[in-house]
Amino acid sequence: MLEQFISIKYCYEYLISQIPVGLLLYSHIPTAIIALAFSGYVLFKERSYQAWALFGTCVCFALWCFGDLASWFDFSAPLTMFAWSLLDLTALIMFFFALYFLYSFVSDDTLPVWVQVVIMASIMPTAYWALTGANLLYFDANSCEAVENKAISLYPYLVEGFLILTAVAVAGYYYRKNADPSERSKIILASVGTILFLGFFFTSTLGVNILVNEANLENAYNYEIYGLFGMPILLGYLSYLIVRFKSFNLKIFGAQALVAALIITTASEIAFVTSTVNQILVSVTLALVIIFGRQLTKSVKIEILHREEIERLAVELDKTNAKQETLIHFIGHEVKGFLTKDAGAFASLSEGDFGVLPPDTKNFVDQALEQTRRGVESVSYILKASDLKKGTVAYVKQPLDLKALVQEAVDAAKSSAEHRGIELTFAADEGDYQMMGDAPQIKDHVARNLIENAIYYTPKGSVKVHLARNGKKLLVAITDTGVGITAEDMKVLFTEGGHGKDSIRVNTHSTGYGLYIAQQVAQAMGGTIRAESAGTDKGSTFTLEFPAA
Amino acid sequence: MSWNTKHILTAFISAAALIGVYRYFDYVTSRNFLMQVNIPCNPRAEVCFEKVNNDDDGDEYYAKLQITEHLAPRCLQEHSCIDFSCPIELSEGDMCHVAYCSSETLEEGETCAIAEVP
Repeated sequence: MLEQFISIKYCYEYLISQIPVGLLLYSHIPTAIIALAFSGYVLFKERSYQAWALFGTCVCFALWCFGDLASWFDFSAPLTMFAWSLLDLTALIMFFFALYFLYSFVSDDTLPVWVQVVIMASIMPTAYWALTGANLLYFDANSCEAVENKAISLYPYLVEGFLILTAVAVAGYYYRKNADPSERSKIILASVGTILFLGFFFTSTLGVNILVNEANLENAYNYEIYGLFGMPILLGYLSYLIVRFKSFNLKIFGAQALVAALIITTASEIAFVTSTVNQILVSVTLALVIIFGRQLTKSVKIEILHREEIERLAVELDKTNAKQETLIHFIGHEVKGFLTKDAGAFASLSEGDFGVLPPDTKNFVDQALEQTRRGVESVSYILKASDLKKGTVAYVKQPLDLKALVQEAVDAAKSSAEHRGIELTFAADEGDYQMMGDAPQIKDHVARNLIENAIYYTPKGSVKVHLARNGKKLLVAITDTGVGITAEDMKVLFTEGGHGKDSIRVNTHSTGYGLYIAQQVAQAMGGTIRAESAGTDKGSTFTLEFPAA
Repeated sequence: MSWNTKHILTAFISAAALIGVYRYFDYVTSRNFLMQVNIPCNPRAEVCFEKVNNDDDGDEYYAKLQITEHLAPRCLQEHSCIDFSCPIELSEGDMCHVAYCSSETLEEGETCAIAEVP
């Protein structure tokens, strides 16, 4: 098919003897199209200096590719001379735009006007020689190539080398200037990609120039094609920048970029295949990749949107919870303060500070005092739970005797048990019950809590507290003959405000925070609490476990 | 982008485009460039360049023709011209010159064939 477009049969046969045509097409056309599509898309999304400069770089790159291809295929001697005469100028303009892009990306500012003028001035000689035609001596019809003026052809490489060094200096300067790790990563990615692209192009074209002019190496121009693969490297780095840092305000995720790369790579194979069967197979494969790739990116996009929504809601929830905690704390402190004052007033009345009260009135005041104190205790529990959740509770761990501590807790609960007609007993196996812990916290919020819970939830019968040692573990078992715990209630037992369905009927004053607090404190001491029950009205056993000292 | 930058870039790109247009006119439309092609040479009559072939085809003898491209017939580029000679009259700026092998025209890697004395 290509033969039809190359007017000189001699040159066509010369071409196919030099290089695989498929490799020529594969190295030029897909890279040029990808560069144009990528930069065009970026420019479409964001009209910034960087986007324009990147677009300029890619347009020049594409023009260079098509011009180089035209000079390879030798459609005619005039076209070859025309395309060849502009390659150096196009390359220099591409280097200019690439430096412009890098500078504007790392500095977030346009390239200073004086720098632009200096670079343009350095390009002027090449432009002049292109205008006058002095850069090409003649067309060699024997090798179907244009013959360059050796001295003039070296000048563009001086400028390109200078621009590469400038790019390195710019990257280094702004890397050091910027302390933010994220910004530094972006600078590294953009700089390495750009410098590698320019470096690949520069070394391959300069190398070819030397091979042709100095070594007279046959097929030297073949090596030039490898320099074009610097563009996919640049685009790879920029793609990573977009996916990771949302550069150019583009929200492309990894799956989209990978699918796009897969489609382009598959489509590029068309340049290689020659037989009709292979062309059909590649076309079918391409169609399937496009269809399935689209489906994949759609479903990934939906999942990403869901995840982003969940993350957004989680952040809002955290904020709401934090506000709620603050409010609870404020209200709790205020209410506790008022209740404490009330308790003080009732205590004064009960103790006769304002005169002896009649028996009925004293009884009434005593009940009011007890209720007020319970209110203070309930509010204290809620505040305590809030503090535990926020992690603002400070523990003072010291050596303590767990047996003595549990004994104290039992003694403190005895009057409550007697008042309710419950038998409360305590037994401890022989052994050493030393451990490290915050004694007041363990006594008040763990041991007393569990014992009083057992008493409140046992309408009749007994509560047995048993202390034992099992190796390095200290076990406190509180067994009651009370209302028991259903499997459903067991799930919410140790949660904040967690009430069993029937528990509120048995103990109307339950705050739902006692067991939550007990577990938090126990865990802070390195211990655990577990509950067991055979079911409703079958009693329950709470086992407290601490590590021995 | 600032006013200065826009105008400088516009002028620069426009200049490059104009160069492209001019080169297109000169090379493609006017075909005003030199072409060099090897043409057959008779070693008995002239001092030819010699290309040594290791196969059975034998050595090749050629001369170098430099000609303005728009004067060149197609057979020259196809290397199929049997007996080409430069036009007698040339317009101003045109060129047609056959270079035979000499110390001045010899380039690196080339050899001259000694003309055989009939």
